[in-house]
Amino acid sequence: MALSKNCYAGRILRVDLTSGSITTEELGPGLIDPLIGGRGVASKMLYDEVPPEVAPFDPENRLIFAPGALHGTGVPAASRTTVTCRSPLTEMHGDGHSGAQWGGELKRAGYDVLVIRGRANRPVFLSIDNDRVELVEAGNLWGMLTSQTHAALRDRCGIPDLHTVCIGPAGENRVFMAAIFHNGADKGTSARCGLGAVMGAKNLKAIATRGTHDVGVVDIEALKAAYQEYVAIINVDPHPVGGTRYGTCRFMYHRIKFGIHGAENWNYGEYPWEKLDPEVFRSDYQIKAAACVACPIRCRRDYRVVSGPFAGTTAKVEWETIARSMTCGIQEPEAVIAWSNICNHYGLDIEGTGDTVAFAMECFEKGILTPNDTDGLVLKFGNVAAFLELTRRIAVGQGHLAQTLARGTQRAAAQIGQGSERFAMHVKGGEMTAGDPRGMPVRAVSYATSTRGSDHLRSNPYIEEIMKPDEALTWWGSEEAADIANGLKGKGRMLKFSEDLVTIGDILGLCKFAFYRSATFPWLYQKGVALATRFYNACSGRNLSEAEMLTAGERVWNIEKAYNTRCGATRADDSIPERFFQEPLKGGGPSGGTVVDRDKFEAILDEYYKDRKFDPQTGRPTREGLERLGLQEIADDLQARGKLSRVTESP
Amino acid sequence: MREMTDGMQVCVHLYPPLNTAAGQSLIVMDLEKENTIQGLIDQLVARFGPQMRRYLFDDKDRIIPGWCVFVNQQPPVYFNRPEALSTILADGDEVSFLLALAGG
Repeated sequence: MALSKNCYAGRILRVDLTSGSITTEELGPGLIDPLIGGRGVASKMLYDEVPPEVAPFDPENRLIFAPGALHGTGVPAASRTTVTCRSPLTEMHGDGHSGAQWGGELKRAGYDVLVIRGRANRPVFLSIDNDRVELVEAGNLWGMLTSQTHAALRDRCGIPDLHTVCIGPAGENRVFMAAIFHNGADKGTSARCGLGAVMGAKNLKAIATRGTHDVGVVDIEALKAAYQEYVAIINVDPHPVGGTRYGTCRFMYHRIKFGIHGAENWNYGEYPWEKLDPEVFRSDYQIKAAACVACPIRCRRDYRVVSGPFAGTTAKVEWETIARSMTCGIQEPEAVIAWSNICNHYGLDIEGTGDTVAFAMECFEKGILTPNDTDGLVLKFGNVAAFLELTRRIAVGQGHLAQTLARGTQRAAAQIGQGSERFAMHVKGGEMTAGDPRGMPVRAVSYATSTRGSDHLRSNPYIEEIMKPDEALTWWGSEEAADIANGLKGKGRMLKFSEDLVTIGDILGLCKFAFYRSATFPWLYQKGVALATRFYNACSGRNLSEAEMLTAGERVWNIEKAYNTRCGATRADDSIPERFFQEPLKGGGPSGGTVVDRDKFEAILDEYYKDRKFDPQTGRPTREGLERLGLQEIADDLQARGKLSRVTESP
Repeated sequence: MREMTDGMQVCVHLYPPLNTAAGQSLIVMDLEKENTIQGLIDQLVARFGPQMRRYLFDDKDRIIPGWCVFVNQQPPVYFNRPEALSTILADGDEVSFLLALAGG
């Protein structure tokens, strides 16, 4: 039986861990109409409910779970759930997104959003079984790995297909890189921004969920028609093929193409990669190719080591697992799999953790850290044993160095001192991700403008790789925008568009790989905007235009920008580590010897601010920019706090 | 690689999905001397048929800009620039086709 005629359950579930209060309220048009769902609704609720006076580990910080509006509908690759809080890493807006079934289960239980506040006085888990919602003592789960927690909850609840989210020891220990794991260790992870640490600070070990209702679709024929068009595109678009064959490991080829590995703490662009070739993972280690809910691409991969010291070790491995291993100088696939196993079971974000370990390794190599500081670990790049052991120690808080690193590279560098700050590779406190930005100027700016710290999934400015000059002229007013290395004009506009574009995916719960990557720009637009809008209209019964859908993405971005501004962010925070500006990329290769040109970086940022209607002097939003998106209340709030800019043009 | 007088040979590395279309990842192609990347693409389509064409061209019969080509490990040639297809090849060149786009 459908709870409602459309894709919304129509309710928000609120749980106060301090008082034990559990209530529901309507999810009404005030949130749905302008923000649609998922990241959109969660970002606005965070803005409304967590002012800057509330510190990340304050019980009044919220942990907001919001499946995308299309999660549970059967729309292809509509499997993403947003988790949002004020981040301990950035002390700004924080969120993570995972593709797994738990979010759909929450909707089937009757809730579009789950808002957690307060702090339990002892470890608990939240049990949601349709309308039966209760807090349950979880002392026996505390200390368990993510996989153990998931299995124990299924046993305890007696429900074999129970869906869970949980933290591991890292979250319990408030490690700033702790993540939230969906259905155990190897399904999905809400990884970035220290979400798991906030959950741990609330003494909330897990959320076990079962929902047996249906999620509605208003116009099934319209959904089917859009589905057929989606399938027609991915049948001819060669981009998904690599994902289906290799999973996300396929992105190795992109790093090879540009020579932007970021190996050894973002020193080397060209680096030995042959042993980490996706083909090697596929042929020698792959045991399972799987998919998130309703996804035709199937890019999830589980690998198993069959011999050697890690024989029998299995793990889900993403491309970023390999990339961040290379950041630590690791070149052996067995070590990558073993490291992924540790991160996934102890509950760590591999991106933040990898960069943090790499930071410690560079400090060791430069003599800033000694064996006395590391409790005997020889933290040289490529030392597999030290790589694995330091990761474990960070998760469990073993030793002074591990406890220092557990607060992320920015804070660790501040504590260690001795010039180590220049090795701390982060944006706004969030560790670097993906590929080295030297050689790709717009990538550098996109890392800087991301609202949750350095991030390659917050935008898709790399559409310069697929755009033809005539398309760039039409869309961004300059053919230069399609010139990867040398272009300038139009890049800022392209970045702004791409941020709004991929925000649509997070609002609707659509996978970025399935909807926001393609081999041509027309296919990309058709999937990410046109079909995404049609899918949403079919499922919700609304009649949004493509322009309105893009505006929804822009609105959400502005809310997050305003949140960060309210927390004190300025233009100075929209930058990247000095290494990228000052130190030529080592190792040779296509981008060897390059730096990010500071003048070009600032020029792209200026154009971006202008297109966003932010003040280019301060980097802050303006009333004009906010009000055209219907965000008058936010403009008033920023003005009252003295953080609203008046101008959009450079003087 | 044999010595060519009227033509030339290039060694072509095919990454997914072109290797699927060709049934192999490494092939040797015979071309006329001073042929271009455009000429190589034409020969690949002629040799391996519609499946190869499907992955190299979009629905408007334009080469898909997401592809790039390495010639002898030099900086890549991007197909989103029109002049890329005119790049002249030489006997013994090693050419790699990668659909390698940012993403993860």
